[in-house]
Amino acid sequence: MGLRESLSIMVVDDMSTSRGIIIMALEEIGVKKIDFRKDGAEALQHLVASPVHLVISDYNMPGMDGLALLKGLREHRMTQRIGFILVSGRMDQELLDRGRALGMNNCIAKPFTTAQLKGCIEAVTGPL
Amino acid sequence: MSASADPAASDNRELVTFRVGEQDYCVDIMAIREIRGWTPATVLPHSPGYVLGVINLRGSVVPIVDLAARLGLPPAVPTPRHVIVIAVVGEQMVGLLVDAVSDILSVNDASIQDTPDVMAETTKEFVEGVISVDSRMLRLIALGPVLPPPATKALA
Amino acid sequence: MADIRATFFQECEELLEQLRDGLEQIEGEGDCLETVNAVFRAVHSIKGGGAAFGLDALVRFAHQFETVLDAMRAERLTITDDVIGLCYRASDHLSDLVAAERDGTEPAHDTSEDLAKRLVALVEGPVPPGTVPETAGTPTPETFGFVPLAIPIGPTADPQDTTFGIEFTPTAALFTNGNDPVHLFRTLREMGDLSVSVDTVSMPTLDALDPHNSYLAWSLRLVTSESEHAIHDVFEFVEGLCSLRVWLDAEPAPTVPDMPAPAEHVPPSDPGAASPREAAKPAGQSPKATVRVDLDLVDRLINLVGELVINQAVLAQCVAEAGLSTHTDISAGLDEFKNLSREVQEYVMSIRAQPVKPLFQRMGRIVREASDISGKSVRLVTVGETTEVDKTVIERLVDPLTHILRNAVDHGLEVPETREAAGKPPQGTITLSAAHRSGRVLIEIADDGAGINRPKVREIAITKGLIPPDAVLSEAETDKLLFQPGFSTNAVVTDLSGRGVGMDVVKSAIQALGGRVGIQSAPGKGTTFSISLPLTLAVLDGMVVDVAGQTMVVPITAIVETMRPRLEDIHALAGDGSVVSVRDTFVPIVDLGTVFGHRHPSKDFSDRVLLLVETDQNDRWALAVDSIHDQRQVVIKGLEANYGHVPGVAAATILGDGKIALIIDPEETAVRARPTAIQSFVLDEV
Repeated sequence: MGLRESLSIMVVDDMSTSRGIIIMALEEIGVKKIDFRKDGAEALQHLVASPVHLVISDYNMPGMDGLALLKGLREHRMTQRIGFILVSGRMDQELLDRGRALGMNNCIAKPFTTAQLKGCIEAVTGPL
Repeated sequence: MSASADPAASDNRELVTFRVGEQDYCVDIMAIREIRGWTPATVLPHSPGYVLGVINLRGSVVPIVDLAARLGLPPAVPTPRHVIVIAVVGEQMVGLLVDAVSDILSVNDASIQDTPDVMAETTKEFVEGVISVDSRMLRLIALGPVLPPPATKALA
Repeated sequence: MADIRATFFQECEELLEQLRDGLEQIEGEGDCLETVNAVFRAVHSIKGGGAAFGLDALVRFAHQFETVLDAMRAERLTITDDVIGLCYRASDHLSDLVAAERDGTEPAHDTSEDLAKRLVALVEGPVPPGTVPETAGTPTPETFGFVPLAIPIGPTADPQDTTFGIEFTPTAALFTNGNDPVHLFRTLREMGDLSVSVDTVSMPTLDALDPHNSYLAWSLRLVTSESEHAIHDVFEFVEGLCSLRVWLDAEPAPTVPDMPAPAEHVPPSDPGAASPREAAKPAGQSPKATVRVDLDLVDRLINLVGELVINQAVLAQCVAEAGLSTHTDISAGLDEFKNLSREVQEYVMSIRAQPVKPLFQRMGRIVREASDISGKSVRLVTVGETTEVDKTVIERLVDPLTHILRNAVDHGLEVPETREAAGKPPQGTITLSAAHRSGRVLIEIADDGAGINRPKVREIAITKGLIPPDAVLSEAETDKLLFQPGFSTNAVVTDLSGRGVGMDVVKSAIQALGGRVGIQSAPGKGTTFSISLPLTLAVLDGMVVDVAGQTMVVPITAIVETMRPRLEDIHALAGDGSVVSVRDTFVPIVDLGTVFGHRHPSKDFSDRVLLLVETDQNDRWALAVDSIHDQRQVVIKGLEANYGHVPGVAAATILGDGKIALIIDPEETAVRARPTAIQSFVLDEV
């Protein structure tokens, strides 16, 4: 079984459009195990009970934003080793520094192509 | 769909003919939804004399026009022998009270002649053209002008 | 992709609503950071989605807007009325841009540029470090020297094994349904290392033992790489037949907000007492599920239910005519049928009901534009936005409300100087409210302007030949002249309200909805337009009456009381009129038979029944009918589709015998029947 088939990814985004776009790109890449949540807190709850390999999360979300989710993941034993990719429409130094400090694995700016997303994931997981 | 099954592809059209007063009239069969016996209509207040009222046609409220009165002939006195021809004009449905439905004819477009000038102005308004069949004159009804005025106004 | 695109536009509508909500909140309650954040997020999300579809014009504008909002939340920009005003304008334009992209029309580039310039001007100043100018293109993480952090996931990656505790107590039903715990345990064993121990504490002594009951409970420990969900999946088919508890063994309680405490679960020693199904429910309250339904489908359903209600009436009539007692099974069954069909009807109708909020938000924009053009400062206050009204009613209210609001800004409110001179705040207020009132929806548009200039209205009406110079009109009658065709108080046609449409069009649009529009005005204090509308366009509760051999329906909502008048209560007036005295007041009698031309006027009301009706203007009328048949819910069938408007008639309905009965419009009927100056000169020509 290749990594593409075994890799499980959770997409977290409050906007169904962006969620749809990310999921569509993942399907195009050939990722089979894709789950999604509409907000950070819900995602965190679920991940604690049922971890995945990689979380791809939007930064800008009401309530718990992307980096708060990352912080939550890193604080808990069951989820601390989950890979984390941050998606944002506004990338700046401050955001990256905060992400780095929290142990963010990678990030990607919107809008992106499927190839860019693939490259971004592979930088974390190795070749798909 | 084959070309022969498409009515628009042929010059022939089918007409439903009926009698009003002592005269023969017809309308294009494509405009006819159904033909039914006379049932008393609910009177509409403040309506023109040729509007007999409204009937319930499977849940739709359909006005009934006394075609004789509309065409300037003596008004009909509806009896169970009278017939209502339900026609559709644009989005609107109307029932035409006629004496009897006679026949269905297939005619060529070319055989439809212009309305002769001798006809009265009131008649000309409602007649699109005439067709000569077996020495009888069939008047082709222009359905639009036959509709009651408020409805005609709404259509425009 | 087309699907996601469609989702994007739907989502944009929601985001734009959130945006306007937020702006309203900031305007009303001041700028709490949370609200500014929400507003920012809405614009940001629209931009992000737009970028994915390459909607450049939209993205460019959203970016400028977002920059301003970003400055607001970073408190680099003070929120003033001007800033909020510009934000409203930008949100209106953003909504235009979204619509243009959705419909494939050309967006207004000039407006974009102009607004963008004004937005940029707001945040002119030192650009904070780290913010990349727009022209630099989308920055990539590498731009900032971010090095990805790899995690060890190989093709054979083996997530860490965890230990789960499982407590499983089957009920007797589990066994009677043919399940066996042994099979479940075998499946669990395939997932990892399993140890099982049985708990026999609940086992009674042999003499008390019921062989059909279940007394055993099991404790299990599973070391597995699978998730907790996978364990729950094993028990999927016995859900509700057992009490089940699964927990992470030797795991400290996670520090996640809102995590349910595991202690909530049912104690395994008491399997029958609680609902195991609930215990097995996954944590986390998900939002209410909804589906999108084609509106045509809903309308077809409504029509069918309408037919069903008519059908029920037909059956009831057949049963009554057959002379069956009301105590027979068939009558009881019919009653049940009636209740059910009414209930079905109510639910189906409620599918079409929608809050008026989007309509009101749209009106907010109309007022902003009107205030721009007229140069008057106006604040729109909305009340009762959650009031639900039939979707069609909402759609068809857009034009009349637009017109009334433009009029209110243009004619109703004074210029700031005049207001200040009159001791009013320079900014005018228009209140748009919606409420449910006795089975109808009441929408009011109230301004705090100068009120109707009655002498001027009268003068114009005389000039235009609407009333004779010597007409004696009450204040209310004068106000109603505004609704007459061809009436416009403005000598000069303004950009705003003088577009060749008068208030008469507003009135007929409202009437077409089965509604009514009234007007109240106080000099110097303002003018209020009240629109009262039926909740639904599909059914109404009616009183079925006989009028000169014709069956007609009078809406119950209009009827105050019914009475059989005593001879001495009826007084003939000079001319054709008669009045009836009702508790010391005289109420004019209107004979429906005469109004509808079914019989000649008569002054003999001795064998008539009078229906006392009250109009929205609080006028009372007594409608004379021959007899009352019944009181029932009727399905409204429009006459407009195949015929047109009939004066005094609101619509038609189909009775139990399949015949059509006309539903009368009491107010219109009464007004037509009234022999006064205003009627003969104004209303007759309609």
